[in-house]
Amino acid sequence: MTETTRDIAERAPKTGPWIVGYVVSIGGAFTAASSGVVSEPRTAMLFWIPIIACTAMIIYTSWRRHRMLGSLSGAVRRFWRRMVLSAGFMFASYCLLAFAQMVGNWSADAIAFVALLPIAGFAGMIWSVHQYAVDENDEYLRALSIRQLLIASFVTLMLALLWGGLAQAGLPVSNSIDLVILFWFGGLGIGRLYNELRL
Amino acid sequence: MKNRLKILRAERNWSQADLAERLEVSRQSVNAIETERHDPSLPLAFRIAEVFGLAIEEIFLRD
Repeated sequence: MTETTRDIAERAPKTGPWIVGYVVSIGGAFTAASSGVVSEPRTAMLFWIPIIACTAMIIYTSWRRHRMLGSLSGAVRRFWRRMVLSAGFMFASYCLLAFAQMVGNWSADAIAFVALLPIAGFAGMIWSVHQYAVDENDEYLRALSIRQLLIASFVTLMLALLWGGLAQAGLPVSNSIDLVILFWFGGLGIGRLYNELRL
Repeated sequence: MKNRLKILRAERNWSQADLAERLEVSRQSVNAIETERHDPSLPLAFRIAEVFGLAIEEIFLRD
């Protein structure tokens, strides 16, 4: 009997859990850095291990899944090329920042400039996700990516509202606004998992 | 919208991958259309009709 797409999808590795793992790893690193638990740059670099492991698994499972389901289109290839370049730039920027902090003789202006560089990496990653939805010619896959983006928007807005509500109620919540990006990536992971489970 | 895609494909002994290749879409798209979780756009419906050599209304039926 011919194997159906649903059978293959069940067999194919899932990407969603690794995206959630990636977000949890970055969240852990942010929390450790902002709470002052980890201040030594060499120790802080240990936090990159789960982040890099999850990134590698996201790339591997996504590539494998696309191969198995026959959906490795030009748009998907372009998406991953942009994503890997942006994530690589972000990683290199953080390494440069850690190096600058370790050396200790960089001027405050130079460190401030290097600290802003990872933002360009994040911007590239966000743009890649949105550009994929524009580039994809397969209408069903495009509909799935739009749904994933809508779920990410929903998760981000709801968590931001919850965060604001908790802060107004006087509860001790982090005042680091850049955590919003983690909510969004986490929402993308949930959206991806939802799409993978519905196939 | 109901459709006869699975029956027509089975009559021709095509797999979902074969049909996807003929339609230049992903296997996931074919599966989603067959299981009625996705209604194809008009251009794709015309392409499906062309591949099977039938009229659109012979493949897609109103609920």
